[in-house]
Amino acid sequence: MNRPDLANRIVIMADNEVGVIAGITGALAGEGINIESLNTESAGSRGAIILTVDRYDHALYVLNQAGFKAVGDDALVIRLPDQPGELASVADRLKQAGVNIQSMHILGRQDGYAMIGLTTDNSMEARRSIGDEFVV
Amino acid sequence: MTETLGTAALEQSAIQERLDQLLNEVEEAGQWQVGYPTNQNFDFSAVLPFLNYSVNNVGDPFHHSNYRSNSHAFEREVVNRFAELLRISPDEAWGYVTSGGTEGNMYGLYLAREMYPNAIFYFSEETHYSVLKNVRLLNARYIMIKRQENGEIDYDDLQDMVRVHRDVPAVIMATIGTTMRGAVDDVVRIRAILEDLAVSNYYIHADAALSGMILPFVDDPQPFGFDVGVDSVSVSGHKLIGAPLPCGVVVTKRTHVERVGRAIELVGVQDTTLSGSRSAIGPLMMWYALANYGDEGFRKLVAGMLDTAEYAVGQFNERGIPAWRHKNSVTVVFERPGPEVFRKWQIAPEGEIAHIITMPHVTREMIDELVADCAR
Repeated sequence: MNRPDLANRIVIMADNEVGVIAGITGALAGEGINIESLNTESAGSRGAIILTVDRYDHALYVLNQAGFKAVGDDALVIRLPDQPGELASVADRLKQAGVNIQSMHILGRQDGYAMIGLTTDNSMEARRSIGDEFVV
Repeated sequence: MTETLGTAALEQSAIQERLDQLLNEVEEAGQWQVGYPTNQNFDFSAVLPFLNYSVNNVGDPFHHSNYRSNSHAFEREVVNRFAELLRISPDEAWGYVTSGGTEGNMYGLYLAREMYPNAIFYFSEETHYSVLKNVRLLNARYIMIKRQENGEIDYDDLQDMVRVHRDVPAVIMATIGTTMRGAVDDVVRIRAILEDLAVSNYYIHADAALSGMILPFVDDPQPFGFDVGVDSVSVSGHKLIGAPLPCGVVVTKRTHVERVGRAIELVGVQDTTLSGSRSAIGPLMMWYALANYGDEGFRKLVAGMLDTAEYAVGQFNERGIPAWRHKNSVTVVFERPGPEVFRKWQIAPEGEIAHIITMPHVTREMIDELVADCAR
C-alpha cells in the first residue's frame, strides 16, 4: 500500500466495524478539518486508519475527544504477534542498535496481534531495526 | 454552546434553583451507582463547622507552618496510622494527605524519578490511566507491560523487558487492586525478578487506591506493604472510607523524602508536598473516619463488602451470566450486559466485560435488581 510520509501522520486504532470511518471523518468535518490522505490496514477484527490532515494538532485533539485512540507522528505504531517475548525482542533489537526507548505503549491486543505505540530518540533507526514489515 | 456564568449577580432564587437541580441529579445518580469504588455511606456532619473557616494545610504536615488555621496534627495521625497499616514504623515513615490516588501515585513516581533520574518506569496495561499521565508529566521513559488474563501484570514479560535494560534503574508500578478486575500484582514476585536479574537500583511504588483499605482488614491478605519491599504506597480516602471530597494518603520511607528534600532546599522551598495550599478538610474527614470506625469497624465493613461480592458472583452465575472475582476483592467482573442496563445503572464496562464494586452502599436488593436486569 501507499504509505504517507511519517511526518504529520495520525494513526487511529479502531475495531473493523461499520461506521468507524464515517465517525472519524464526521468528527473531523465537524471541526472543518480537511483530510489529505486516508489509508487503512487490518489485523484481524482490529484495524489501523492512517490519516494526514491540514490541521494536525487540532485533529489529534478532536479525535481523542471523540473517543478514538489516535496516535501522532512522534510515535511509531508497530504490529506484532501477541506472543511471549515478542515485545522484549523488539526492545532488545532497539538496544543493540543503540536506540533508546522513550515510551512503549500497548495500544491494543486482539486476534493474536498487539499494536504498540513506540517513541524513541531515533525513529529512523528504530524503524530500520524493527523491520518495515512490522511498522504500520 | 459555551456555558458561562455572566457578569451580573444572580437572584438568590435562581441560584437555589440551579443548586437544587444539581442536588436532585446527584441523588438520582447515586441510587444506581454500583460500578465505581466510592462508598456513599458516610456522615461527616461533625466536620461541617470547619467549612466556615479558611483552613489550609499548606506545607509539610511534619514541619511547623506559619499558617495556623490548619489540621496538620490530625493529618500526622492519619499518616502514622496508615504507616502502621502498611507495615512500616511511623518513625521511619513520612507522608501526607493528598487530593486523591492520582496525587499519591504522582508523589511516589516523583520520588522514584528524583532518586533515579535515568530510570525506566514499568507498569502493566491494566494500570490506572493516571500513571500514564504521571510518567508523561515527569518526562520519564516508560515501558508498558502486558497484563495476564486475570488482570495481574505479566511477570514473564516484565522479566524479559527488565533483562534487556538491566543496566538501567527500574521503577516498577505495582497495582494493588486494578481498576477493572481488582487484580493484585505480586510484589514479592516482582521483587524476586529484580533481585534475580541483579538490578541494583530499583524502586517499587504500590497503587493501592482501593485495596489498600481492604487488605489490612482481612485474615489472609496478599502482601503489598513496606515489609515486602515497596518504597511508597498511595491509598484513596474517598473510595472505601467514603468522603464528599476526593482525598487520599501517600506514605513513603522518611529517608527517601529526606534525600529529595535536600534538593528542594537548594531552591529555598521547604515544602516537600506536591501542592502549595492543601485541603485541611480532607485530613479531618479521614481522621474522623479512622477514629469512628477503628480497626474492628473496618474489619466488619470489609467483611460485609466481601460477603456482598460473593453473593453477587453467585447470583450472576445462577442466572447463567459468567461472573468472577479475585481473592479479597470486592470487584465483581461479569459479561458485559446490553445497553439498556447501562442506561439505568452506573456500571464500568471494558470491551466484553463489565464490573460492579460492592461498596458498603451496595445492598443485596440492588444486586438482585441488577442481575435481573442483566438476565432480561
